[in-house]
Amino acid sequence: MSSRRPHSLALVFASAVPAVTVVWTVDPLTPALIGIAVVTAILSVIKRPRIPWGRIGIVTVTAAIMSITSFLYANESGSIYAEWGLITISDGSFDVALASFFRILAIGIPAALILTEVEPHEFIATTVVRRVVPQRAALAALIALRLAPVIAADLMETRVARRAAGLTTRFDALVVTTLVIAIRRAIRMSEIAEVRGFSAPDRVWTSYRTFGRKDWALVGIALGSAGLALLITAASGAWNSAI
Amino acid sequence: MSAALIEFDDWSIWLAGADDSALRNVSLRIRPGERVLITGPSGGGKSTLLRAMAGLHDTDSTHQSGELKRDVTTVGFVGQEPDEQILFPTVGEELEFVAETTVSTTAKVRRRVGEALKATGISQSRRHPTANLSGGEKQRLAIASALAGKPPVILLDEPTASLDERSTELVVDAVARVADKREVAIVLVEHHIDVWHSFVDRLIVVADGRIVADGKIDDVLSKKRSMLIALGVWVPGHVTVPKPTPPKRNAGVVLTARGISGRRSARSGRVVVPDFDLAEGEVIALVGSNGSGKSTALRILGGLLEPDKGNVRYTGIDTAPHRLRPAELVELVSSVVQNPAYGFGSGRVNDEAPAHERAAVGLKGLDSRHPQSLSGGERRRLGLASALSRHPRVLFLDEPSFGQDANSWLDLIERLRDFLAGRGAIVVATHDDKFVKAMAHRVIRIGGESR
Repeated sequence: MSSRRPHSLALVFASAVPAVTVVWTVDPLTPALIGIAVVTAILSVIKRPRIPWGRIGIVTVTAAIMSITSFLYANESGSIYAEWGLITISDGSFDVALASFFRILAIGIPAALILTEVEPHEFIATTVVRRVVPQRAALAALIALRLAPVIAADLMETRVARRAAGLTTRFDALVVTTLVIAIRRAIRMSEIAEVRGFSAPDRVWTSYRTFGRKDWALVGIALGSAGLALLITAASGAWNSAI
Repeated sequence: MSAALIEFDDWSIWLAGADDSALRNVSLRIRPGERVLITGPSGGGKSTLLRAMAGLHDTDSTHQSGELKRDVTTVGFVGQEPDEQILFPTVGEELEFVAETTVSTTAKVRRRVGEALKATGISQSRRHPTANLSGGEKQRLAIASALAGKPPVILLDEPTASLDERSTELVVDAVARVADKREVAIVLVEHHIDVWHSFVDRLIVVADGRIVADGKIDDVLSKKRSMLIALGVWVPGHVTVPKPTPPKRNAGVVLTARGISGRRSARSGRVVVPDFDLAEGEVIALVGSNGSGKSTALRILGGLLEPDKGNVRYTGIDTAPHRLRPAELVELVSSVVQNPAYGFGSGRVNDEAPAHERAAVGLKGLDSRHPQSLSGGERRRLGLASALSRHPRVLFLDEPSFGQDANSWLDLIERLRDFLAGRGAIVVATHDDKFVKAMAHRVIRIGGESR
């Protein structure tokens, strides 16, 4: 049953492809093409996809802000429409603004889509079994994930307890106390982890899964569409080298 | 007689760091399937002994003599703080982590996980998020994790010290199920003997770094009764509850609570506090089941949290308590939260409260320790000493009696009575029935929680 679920590593890989594709050229076409291809591919492998509109909204707002900034501060090219000090609005401004808008969407939306689909344990297990990452570092990273909400709760408790002790509840003071507590927690938790076989050499990684046909297809489509997007851009003359 | 799993022979340890106490001339054996309870006063060396059994004692920076033989490849270990026993986001991952190192195939791991869940009576699914578990459920999962490694011995260091009664029951039930099968030896450190009495065979008493009694639990309890009482061990049926003295008639009102409701954080349920007036010399106990909102109510009353509705008024002060600056607030009232360690501002016990206040709550000889290194019970007493040193009109106490041995419990009652005699007043949130009987003039049930 779980074998139908897309592999976390394939999802992370596919969602990272747009980021390494759009670095080559600053134009709106490349990110639009690769973005549409990767989003479609991811949506087609996720079982019962739920669109995270909230996260997509945040990505879109960020993209809009970045695009306005590049609109105002882009290098000038073509006819110039306005100039105020550092701000220059020219033909190039429109191109660059549109390009940065699509670039951020192409990177951000796939990431937003996979966020709740990725299982960190599966991702880590696969990287360890495939000898990409050393076991101890990988396990420590996994355990650190679990510590994050605990530290958030510690921060809240610190605020209340410091107020009760008549001490200031300024953020920097809270952070210092919370840090001391977090370090002590981490030491005690590492003892627990060690007793439970953290360093044991032969671990059966139950979360490890091999890639299925769909996972390979996802990776293939992501890479293929990246190449294709770059070719189409070059052929259409929209290429604007960024390197 | 079967071979010992763990054997100490005239073993002593001197510790470099001040966080643990030393042990001297320990000789004892833990055998397969044995069920051992270790008890004794706080700071006597119980935990050091247990950690040595687990192989967690520092072998580099300490000096040892005698012999310690551990004929075990793996042990199960469960500590005090529920949050620190849990390493992964889901129940299944937690157990798999241990099972993965002890069997050789995925199918066997799954079977092992299933067995551990069943053995401890955990009903949550494998995908259940560990963040949603209560303290007791976390400790039960920690016991299951220990079992998933099929160790010959499980060591538990005050597994219920920070838990309320209901959560304690979950842990006791899990240990009882494991003990029943007699497949694993169990060694646990605890203050409350009566809770564990029925399924423990042997009692070891550690005080001042030495083993002062070791034998069949009933023998030790009957032959060494007076010594145990002197050491502050909770001997079943011994601590008699002193009756509270009633507050003076016509005593002035120090606090009024009207129409209060609030919540701990934006996402938690609403807590409703019934209206009441608190008089000088009076003690009001807030009771209610786990998660009913006692702590939240106490925090609102103590000016630590803003209520959604209603108001708290300290007599003579027009500003709402939650609007007072921290320094102004503590001039009027003092709160001792469940874990006061979060509010300790210095690196030494010395600097948190004056010596006479520390002595009055039975904290001695810890002067240069780091406050964060104290046990749960010691932290609460240090928090109380610090609160009392500011001579507040009202004290707000959150579970002050958790993790206290019998002597410190009695010290606590005595010190609080002195405070009342000096015209103080107390609101306390507690699960401890003995404490309610000894201290409270009125009981207010919190539990009108609605979402």
